[in-house]
Amino acid sequence: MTKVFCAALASETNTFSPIATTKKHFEEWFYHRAGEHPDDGPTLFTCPYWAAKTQAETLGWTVVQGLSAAAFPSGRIVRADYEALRDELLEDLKQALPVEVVLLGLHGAMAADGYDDCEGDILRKVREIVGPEVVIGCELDPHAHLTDEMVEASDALIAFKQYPHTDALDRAFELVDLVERIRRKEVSPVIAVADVAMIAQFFTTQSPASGLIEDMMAAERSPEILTASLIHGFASADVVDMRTKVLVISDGDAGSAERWAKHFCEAAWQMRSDADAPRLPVDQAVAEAMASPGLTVLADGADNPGGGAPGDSTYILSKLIEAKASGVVVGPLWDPVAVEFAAARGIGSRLSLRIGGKASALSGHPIDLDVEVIGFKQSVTQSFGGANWPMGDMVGVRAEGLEVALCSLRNQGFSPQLFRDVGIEPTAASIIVIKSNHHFRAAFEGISDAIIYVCAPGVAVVNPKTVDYQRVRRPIWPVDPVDDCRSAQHIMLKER
Amino acid sequence: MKRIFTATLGTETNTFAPLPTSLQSFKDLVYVPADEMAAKVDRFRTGPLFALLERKSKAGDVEIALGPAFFAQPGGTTTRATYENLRDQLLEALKLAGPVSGVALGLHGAMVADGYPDCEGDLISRVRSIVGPSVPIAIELDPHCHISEEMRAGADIVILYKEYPHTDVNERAVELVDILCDTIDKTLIPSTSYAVTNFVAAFHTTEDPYKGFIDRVREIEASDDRVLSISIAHGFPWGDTADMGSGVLVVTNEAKSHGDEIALSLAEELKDLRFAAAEKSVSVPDMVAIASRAENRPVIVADAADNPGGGAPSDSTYVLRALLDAGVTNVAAGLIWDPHAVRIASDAGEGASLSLRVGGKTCALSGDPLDLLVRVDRVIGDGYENFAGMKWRLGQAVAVSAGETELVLTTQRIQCFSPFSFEQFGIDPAAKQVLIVKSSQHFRAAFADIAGDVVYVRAPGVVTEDLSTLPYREINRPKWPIDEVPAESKLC
Repeated sequence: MTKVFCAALASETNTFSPIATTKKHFEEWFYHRAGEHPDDGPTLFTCPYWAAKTQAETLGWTVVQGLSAAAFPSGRIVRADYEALRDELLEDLKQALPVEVVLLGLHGAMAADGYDDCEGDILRKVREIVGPEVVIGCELDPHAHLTDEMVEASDALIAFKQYPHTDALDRAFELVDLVERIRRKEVSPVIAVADVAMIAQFFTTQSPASGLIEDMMAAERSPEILTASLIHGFASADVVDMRTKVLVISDGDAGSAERWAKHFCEAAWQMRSDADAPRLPVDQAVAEAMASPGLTVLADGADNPGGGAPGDSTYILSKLIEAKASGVVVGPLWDPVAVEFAAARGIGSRLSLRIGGKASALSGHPIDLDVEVIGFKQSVTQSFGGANWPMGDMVGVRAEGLEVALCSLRNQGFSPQLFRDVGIEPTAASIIVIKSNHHFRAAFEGISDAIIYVCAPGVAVVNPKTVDYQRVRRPIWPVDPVDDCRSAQHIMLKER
Repeated sequence: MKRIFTATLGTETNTFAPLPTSLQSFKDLVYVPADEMAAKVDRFRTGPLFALLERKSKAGDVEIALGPAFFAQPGGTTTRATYENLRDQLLEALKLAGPVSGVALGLHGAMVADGYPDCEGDLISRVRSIVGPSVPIAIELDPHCHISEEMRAGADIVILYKEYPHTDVNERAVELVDILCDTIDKTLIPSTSYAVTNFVAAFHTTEDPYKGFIDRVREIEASDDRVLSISIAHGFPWGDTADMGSGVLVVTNEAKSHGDEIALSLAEELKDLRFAAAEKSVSVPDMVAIASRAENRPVIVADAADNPGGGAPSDSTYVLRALLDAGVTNVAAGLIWDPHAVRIASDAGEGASLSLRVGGKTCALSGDPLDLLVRVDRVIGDGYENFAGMKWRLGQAVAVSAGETELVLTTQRIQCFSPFSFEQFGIDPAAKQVLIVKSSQHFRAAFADIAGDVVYVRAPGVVTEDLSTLPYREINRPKWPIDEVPAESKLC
């Protein structure tokens, strides 16, 4: 029997977010000690464990499950809390020794006070514990900062290909398969990482990013390479390795790994301006939405809680009020105090309510409204990607021309059901302002006539050009001149 | 034998306060359902019940039908479900009491619930429809009330406390019950006259000229056979309802036009007393000037308009912002209610530096939030304040500093009673140039030892005395001092 250790420790860190991440945030979100992972299915970052468990009998594996912890995207993790979580994972690993394989579910963009690269830190320490012969594989979120340290310590790395991330489990099965082949010495991984010297968003639901993903999958079916991943990077983090990268693993063939990395690097570079949706300034987005017939969704990516933002900014909302827009629906807006006040008064009551603009300097001004409470539900959850996402208690309030869904737990808007739960019918609206960058699209595309991505102020970066990065390695597109970025592109190779 | 039903339901509603008055708010103060009243009659005897018990023991001609007693601390608008629940309990008790010869209610007069701008008017008219037109209804009210037509039409006898501070609740109730009994016996036929003014003012009966005015009112009551009772309604300016304002109510024995004359003539006199009511407070700019120059430190700035003891959120930023804008930074402020910021700061932990948005979060009168680069100096999970022999829990609380400006933020809304508010966080209040305390008056006792000058600032806020800053919508306008108009009065 092959003894395999699996663990997960993940969070997406927005270093601009004023909301620090603590161990309590992990405990509130997803925290299971060794051996205590729930049996009802994996979460985004425990897919490697789930895939290993599923394949255990076929592969002759004995799976030991260590710490499984994830926190909702926020600011840097408090140092002591990060170290405690990391050490818990490492201690679980030590208890499990000897092992032949280590499988980790990491994010890739986790940062703590004093640690720009938590994953590099974790992987290096894991390698120190298990020694050079044990196979280390890890699954990543594509919104990762792929550092040399992570690559040096690992034998196999695979990122989700899709954004929205609907393929985490598929990629985990690939990872399980790959590490087993490495363990049996059927393959000898050579890793090539291309630094594209840019930062962009890749919406893989649409061209051209969807084409790049299809090309990668086609290349994986050829004998030349084992796996390829596009690392989008995560612009809301000011860390050295924040940038788009391409990761290709071949079987002992440095030339083909390098060639394909170069190929996908060029492809990513060429679509740098088109992979993201066009984003309109607030004024223009509001004007277009008001002029459009039917239902327009305004996506407020800059205040996307899924990117570490508070989800309570009012820039778009106040512009809509100023423009006297009607049929406006906004949500989910994070405002636990307003939820408490409105819930106490109950459905049907009227009150003056100050909403939004409360969490940070990039939240905009609070808005004072005379509202009627039209819905209240406790412990609301949204379904997305097969998981239930908690929203806390929610209320729906109506003011002139406007309905707002307020939540007590910070989360992005995935599903129209979230509005219906609090008495708001989204299909009856003319304009929906959704606190989400892109995940919303899956469920809202079908009910809307147009989708506009808005470039509003906010904690989640939607326009890197506006950010004063202090630590990010330069040059980087679109902040620096194209030619400089072009000449900075390079490839790093690592052989086992 | 006269069978008289008595009950109590009331609270003073600050309609500008964002925090709802809920069933729990009543349970926190006085909540005695009718069937528990008999057992608790000694502990919860409100005015009319006190008077009825007195009458029963002395004249022995009354039998008391006990209704419930519900009373909450002043707060924001009562929730609809709460008011309807309590009202219906009272009405149900009245129905269960069977035929009665009279009703005596202890109410406040300034209670507002969602959908009920005039709770007392609603309650009285429902009582009337249960007891029918011939059973007399007597009500006792707080002078900080809104006298509505519905209240006057529904009740036969209305009497307000005369004193402020309210030291005469029981005396007035005795008068009320005596008049009620005489009415039941048909030896009297009460008639109500009401003169309403176009102003609102606070009258302190402890000092002249209002003290003298009330003395003369008592003389009229004593010397005029046709006058049964005279009440002065101060009004309650933090209640945004149509009938908010001062007025004079006279109950005569079937002498309406005589009562009208007295009411109108006293209302005319009241006009001249309204100026004496103004407090000795200073504007925000004057506060800044005084605080920045003062040598007698620390200057205590009492932000009474945002006093949580008056139903305010305790998160307004007007005073602090004005001081910071003027470069006065050696300031400590407390206790600022901001559970949102407390969570963010305490998660970041002691020693962390972060950009924190503080205050200005609860309502339109909270001002704009302040964005400060702060250091988290102290996180305390079990902080408290001391007042009136009790510990008042702060909930999770933090002290943060932006340079020499130090703020104490809490998750429980608690008045800043003492220097301990600051000291337990390692802040030395005596070393500050300015201390901002969210309190009207209670702070004075404990701060006396360290206080330099004390300044009462007139900032905007939920309990502001600067009424022109309140977003009124329902009151009848024009209304002095909100509107610059000559005082007037008229008969209703």
